[in-house]
Amino acid sequence: MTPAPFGARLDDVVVRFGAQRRLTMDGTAVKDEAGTALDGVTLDLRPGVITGVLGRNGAGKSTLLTLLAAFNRPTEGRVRVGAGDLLEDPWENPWVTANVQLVRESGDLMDDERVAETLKYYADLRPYWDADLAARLLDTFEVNPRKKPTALSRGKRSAVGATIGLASRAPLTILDEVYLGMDAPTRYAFYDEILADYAEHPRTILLSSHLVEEVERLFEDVVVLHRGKVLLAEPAEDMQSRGFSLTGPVAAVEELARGRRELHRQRLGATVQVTIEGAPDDGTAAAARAAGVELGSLPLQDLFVRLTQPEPASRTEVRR
Amino acid sequence: MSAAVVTRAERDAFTARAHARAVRRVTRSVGQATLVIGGIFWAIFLVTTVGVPLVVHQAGGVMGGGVMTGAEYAAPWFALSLGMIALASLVVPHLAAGGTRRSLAVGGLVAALVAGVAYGVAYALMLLVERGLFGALGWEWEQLGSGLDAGGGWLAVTGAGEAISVVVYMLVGMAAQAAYRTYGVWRGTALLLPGLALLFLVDHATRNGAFADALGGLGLGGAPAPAALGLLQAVVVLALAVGWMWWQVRSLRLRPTR
Repeated sequence: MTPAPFGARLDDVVVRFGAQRRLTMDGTAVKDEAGTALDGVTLDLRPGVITGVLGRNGAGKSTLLTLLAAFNRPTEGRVRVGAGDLLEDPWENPWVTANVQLVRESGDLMDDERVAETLKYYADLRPYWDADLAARLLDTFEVNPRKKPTALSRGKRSAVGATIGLASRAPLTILDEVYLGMDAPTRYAFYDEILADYAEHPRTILLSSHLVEEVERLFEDVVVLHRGKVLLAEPAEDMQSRGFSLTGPVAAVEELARGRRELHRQRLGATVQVTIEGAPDDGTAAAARAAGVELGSLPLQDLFVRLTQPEPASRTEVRR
Repeated sequence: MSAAVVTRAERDAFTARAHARAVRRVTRSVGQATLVIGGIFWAIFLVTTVGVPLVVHQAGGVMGGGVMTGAEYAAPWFALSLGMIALASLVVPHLAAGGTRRSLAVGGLVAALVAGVAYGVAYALMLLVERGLFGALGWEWEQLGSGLDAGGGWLAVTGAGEAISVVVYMLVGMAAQAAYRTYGVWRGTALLLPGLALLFLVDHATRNGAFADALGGLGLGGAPAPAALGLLQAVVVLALAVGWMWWQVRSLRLRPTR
């Protein structure tokens, strides 16, 4: 028996870090700057859906995700994770931690042991571990489990992380930039595996990525973080109404776009694509058809770029 | 696999199983590492403990002290290093695999106790080997091990003292690693001081090890204490070391590192 997919709620969560020098495993000293990683984040993460967690570098994505897996605790505020109405503090809570799988871009592997040893460790702790799936995924990603992680390329190491994420079958699976270093065929194979396994074994998946165009097809919900705050958190469907694109001859598109707020523009010869804020009315749709202009949905990447551009006055916090 | 709403009883049973599974795995990983690597350590000392006197004797020389003097100093520090390394290599995969800090601390403690007993027995047995070898070669053997007043139970007290010392050193190593992880280089280094105090105290209580000899060399070693009292003090220090490790590991935080 597997618990129902896990959801999460964050209430006014603040995470501050002090400046810190630390030694890496290879013996080099690294300085982490002081700062506020999350600043008053209030957010609901729906159970049983794939949620994209987007944000620029330093937006607070990884910090948020590590809170859910109890890698860290908030400085202020409250984090709750669980199934149904029973949401609990994940910190040192084996019910939550055993049901939440966070995979970071490093893969969180044992560097001194073979990959197979790390997988055995996960298999021993993860209650719903699927060893057959793990073996098949390693085969798909062409990873030799007899090698040590240090002998693997960045992409292969990420593939091991992806394998752990999927084979754990955790009711809350968090994949934090797991794709790093993977080549395009491997990434697409990974996305296909996510969808296939998610369809067969429904659970909650949080997916953080900078490759927005590649992964937006997976998302049912989207959260956009910027400078430690939630800019947007809503179903991906609702985002469609936030804007639309016009593609066609320059003059016709300019005419249709006049007086509207432009989110993005891309021109190729005599053809231009303009992304417009807001929903198209019936008149615009008819005029576009008549002028030979194609009306498209809002690319998530355009909205993401627009929302996180350094124009404080243009940003509005929107919550589901 | 079917998703289901879980009752409180099922949840509690699941939690207990998850904790037990995690403790077993940590105990196995850390225990195996300390026993295998420790086995190599003691094997090297066995070879040198037997080999060096034989070579010296063959050359017509006489040794004033045995090789086991080195083991007396080295074994606890070796255990401290293993404690640091074991926690460093395990902490992130353990938490990522859904383990808690509590299961990491409990598993680490059990593994340290196993290592302590194994190292204590190995140390006592090798002292016997060295004493027997010196006797066979007609040399005088200077008694090593615990300086506690144990009468005829010297060997057992020495083994027990060594076992407790190894556990304390290993736990302090784990605590130091956790402190560096949570607090970084500067505060982590400052937090070595309480750990060093525990090492000093356990050496003094067992009248064994580098700190005890350093105090003795300064004339501050004090009078030989009864073995029972010394071992009791060592157990108290062990309890403090458990608390210190528990505190550091339970509060360990992993900061995003990108």
